[in-house]
Order: sequence, then C-alpha cells, then structure tokens
Amino acid sequence: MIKRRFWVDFVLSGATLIWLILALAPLLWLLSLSLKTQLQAFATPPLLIFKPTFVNYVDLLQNTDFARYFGNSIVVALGSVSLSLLLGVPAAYAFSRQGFRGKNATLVWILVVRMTPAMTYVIPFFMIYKTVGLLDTWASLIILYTLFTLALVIWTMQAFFDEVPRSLEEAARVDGATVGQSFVHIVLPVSGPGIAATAVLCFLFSWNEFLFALVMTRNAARTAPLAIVNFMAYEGAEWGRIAAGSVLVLLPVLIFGFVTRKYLVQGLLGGAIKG
Amino acid sequence: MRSATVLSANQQARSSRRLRREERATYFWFLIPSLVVLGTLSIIPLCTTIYLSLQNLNLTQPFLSGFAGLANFQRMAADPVFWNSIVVAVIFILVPVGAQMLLGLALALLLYNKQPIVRISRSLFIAPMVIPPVIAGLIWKILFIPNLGGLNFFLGLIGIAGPNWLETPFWAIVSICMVAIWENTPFVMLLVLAALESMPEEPFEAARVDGASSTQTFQFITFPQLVPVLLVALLFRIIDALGIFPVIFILTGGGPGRATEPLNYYAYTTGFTYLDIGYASALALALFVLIAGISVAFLRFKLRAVEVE
Repeated sequence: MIKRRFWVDFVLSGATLIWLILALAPLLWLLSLSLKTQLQAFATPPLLIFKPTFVNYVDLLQNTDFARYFGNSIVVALGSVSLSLLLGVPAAYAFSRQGFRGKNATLVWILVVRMTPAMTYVIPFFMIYKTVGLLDTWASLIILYTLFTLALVIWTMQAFFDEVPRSLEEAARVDGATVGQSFVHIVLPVSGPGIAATAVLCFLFSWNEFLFALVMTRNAARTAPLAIVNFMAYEGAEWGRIAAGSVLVLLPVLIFGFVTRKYLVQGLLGGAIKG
Repeated sequence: MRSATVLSANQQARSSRRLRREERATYFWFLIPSLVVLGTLSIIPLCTTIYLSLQNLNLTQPFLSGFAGLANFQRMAADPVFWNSIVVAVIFILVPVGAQMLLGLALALLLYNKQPIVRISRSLFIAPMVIPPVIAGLIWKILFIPNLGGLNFFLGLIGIAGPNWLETPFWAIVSICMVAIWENTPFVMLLVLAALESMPEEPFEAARVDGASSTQTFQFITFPQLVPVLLVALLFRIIDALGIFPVIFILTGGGPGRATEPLNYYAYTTGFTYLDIGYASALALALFVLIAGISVAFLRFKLRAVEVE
C-alpha cells in the first residue's frame, strides 16, 4: 500500500513537472532569444548554452523610440487606473452600504459591459474619435480603458467592502461623523490591500490591451506592445528587438500577476462569483 | 419637564431624518459620476454601432455613403465569408475551450496539494495567462518558424517531424488552437483551484470513514460541487474565445485564405483594412447578439441547475 502510494505520488509529481516545463519553456525561450545575437538566435541546432549579451536591449533603447512607447504604456495604464479608482471606489462603497431600487440591474449592466466584445466598441469609438480629433492621443486610450477598468473596480471593490465590518463606521456615525468622513477616515485606511489588488488588475488590463491601441493610435500615443509588433513589419522581422522588447513588457506583468494571484480569479470574472 | 422630553425626542427624530437625508445624498454623489461615465461610454457606442450598421459607409468611397436600411444585414445573410467566419469561430470555441476545460480541471486537481513546493509552483503555472496576448502570439510566431524557430527542433528530439505550422489551413488552425490552450488553461485551473479550496471538509471525512475510493469521492462529492464553477469558467472561456484577436493578428492574419478568420476578425478586417464601416458595424452587432444570446441561454441553464440542487 505504501509502495503504491509512492508510485502514485511519483507519477503525479512527474506530470506536474512536465506540465510546468511546457507552460514556462516558451517564456524562457523568449528570454534566451533576447540575450542572443541575431546569428546565435537562429543557429541550427538551437544554442542552449551561450554567453548572454545585452546588445538587443542596448540597441532597442538607443536606436529606437521604444522607451517613449514604453512611457506611453505607463501613462495610459496609470491614467486609466487612477481615474477608475477615483470614480469606482466611492461607487462600490455606496453599492455595498446602500440598498436602492435598480441596484441589481445596475450591477448586471456593469457585468454586461465587461462581457461585451471589444469589437463592438472599436468601430464606434474610432468614428467618434475621428470626428472629435482624439485619435492617437493618450486620452483616447485612457477613456476606453476606463470603461472596462471602472466596471472591474466597482465589482471587485463592492465584494471587498461587503467584507469590511460596519461596526466601526456605525460608532463613528453615532459620534457625529458624516458618511463622507467615516468613509475617508475609517473605511479607506483599512481598504489598502483591496484597493492595491484592484489597481493591479486594472493595470494588467490596460498594459496588456492590444486591439484598441492598434486601432486608435498611430505614432504619438503608440503603446509598447504595438511598438514590438511593428518591429515585425519593417525591413524584415527584427527578432532580437522583438524579444528584448517583449521581455521588458512582460516583467512588470509577471511580477504583478504572481503577487496578486489570489485576487486574479475575482478580477477576471468581474465578480461573477466570489473567489 | 415632560414637555422638554417630548421636545428633545422631536428634535432627535428631526435630526436623524436630516442625517438620513444627508446620508442618501452622499451615497448619491458617490454613485452618480461612475454611473454617468459607464452609461455614456457604453450606451453611446452601442447606439452608434446600430446607427452605423444601417448606413452605407465606406471610407474609401465617401461619395456613396448614405442611409442603407437593412442592406448590410441582407448582404451578411448572403455572404459566404460571413458564414465561413461563423464556422471558424465555432471551431475556435469547440477545440481550444474543450481542451482548456479538461486540462484546467486536471491541472487544478494535480495542484490541489498541501505540499509547500506545489503551493509555490502554482504561481508559475499562471504565467501564460497574465502576459499580454500579443506577446504570447509573438513567442509562438518565433517558435513556429520552420527550421529556425525551435519548436520543430524540439519535436525532432522526441522523434516527431514537425509540419510547416502556419502554412496550410489545417496546421494554421491547429497552431492557433495550441496557443489558445497554452494561454488560457491556467484560467480554468485558477477557478477550479479556488473552488476546491473553499469546499467544506465534512463530506470528504464522511466518505473516508465509509471507505469510499478516491474515484468515488471525486465522482460523487468533488465533481458535483465543481459543476457551478465549471459552468462559469465555460461561459467566460466561450466569450473570450469569440473575442480572440491578438493571437490571430500576429500568427496568421486570418489566413491562409480565410481559414483562421473568425467573425471577430472578419469584422476587424472589414472595418479597418477595407474601411467598410457600415458592414463592419453590422458584423460587430452580429457578434454582440451572438454573445448576448449565449450569456442569456447560459444564465437560464445555470439558474435551472441551481434550482435542481
């Protein structure tokens, strides 16, 4: 019996390990490409052991506008995250504390916004932006991303506020504090972790988004993922630059993703179930 | 003395009513900005799409634009490319989503384990899911390059002659499916894992006491409790599969021919390659209706499943 148990464990661990390799190998392959010269990158058979070089990164940052596009990505992501937190956190609190007619309908509508295919928004927003001259600006992307991240903030923060006990606020209210005061001085200070996790989820959405950025920007507001794709189009694919740029875009996302794994479920579902 | 008490009670009632009013006003002002923003940004585009879908509007032929009635929808019904895009969309739902569900469930069961090493490794498994889809596409684009990319080399090591991945319709479809599975299996895994961890202990202890085998425990205790979360995962995977874009954009651009061009991508090329905004809006609306239909059907089905419980 013990022997059988051992073999079961052995097979299961083996399967897990192989799976892990399959999941991570493409990422490690990308990392290794970014550290190779063009010649090493496409050597046959592929070089598994080589002396890493940073030429691709140096080239990317010195000879291209990548740093500026990376900056665009940061501005757009931070802009939509702060805007949607500013608007969404108080709204989520009101949803959590106050019952009103149509509350459920409103929450379902917010979920519908989350589920609606991006393609339904791209065409009208493109036409509207074209008319008002917003194409290829930071604002064009910040507005679009806020639509989605705001829905995300309201759903996840509402679930979070539901878990915050009301006794403290009630005590403060008895002492004469207004709703606004007790929200700012009592609820917000204990909501740090929830707000941080929500902010990360929103950041991931904006940072990873591709379709809107593809349609709405040309050069001035182009984001980093698009800049990488553009290396594919001009004068043959420049795989070294592509790999180096991809690694730079990946790093913050991977770190954030690992740190907030627990909250990812709720965030991805937009609160359809409680994780 | 008595009248004073009555007065103060009256005052209290009045001041508490004033508090209630103040409270309601605050909540109102907390809510209104968000609702206005969400309302404006979601309803105006939808109305615009409906309006555009009724127009003859091609940015390359601005002189021909005008009200078209239902012409775009008639054209859609008779358009073989549209029906092809529906078939492709169905393929991209059935194959990758089916595999994601099965593999995600299996992986979650593998990782549902108290050992610390396994617990830490869970975070690593979600890497493909959190990276930008466009970069997932780029990585695989490199891997798929025949002879140079690497994938065929490693397949050769285990004795498999790799095909020309993106060259033929069949292998292009397989390629897209593979990337979609790689990318999104962790989503199902995360959901199932969360559900597994929130299950009550008692039924499992009872089953152990009664001498149930692990297969029986899974079949009669674990799986029934997982059904709701699996349904939610399925809905989200189907909807996301219908919206698949960056991976196709990078890997195949819808080709060869139109072999990997689902409805979503057809709407994109119609609108932004051929600049036929009117017809693209009609296609986007069709996608919207399709997803709304699936969501409603699913919600009904799910409600029934819950009632049966």
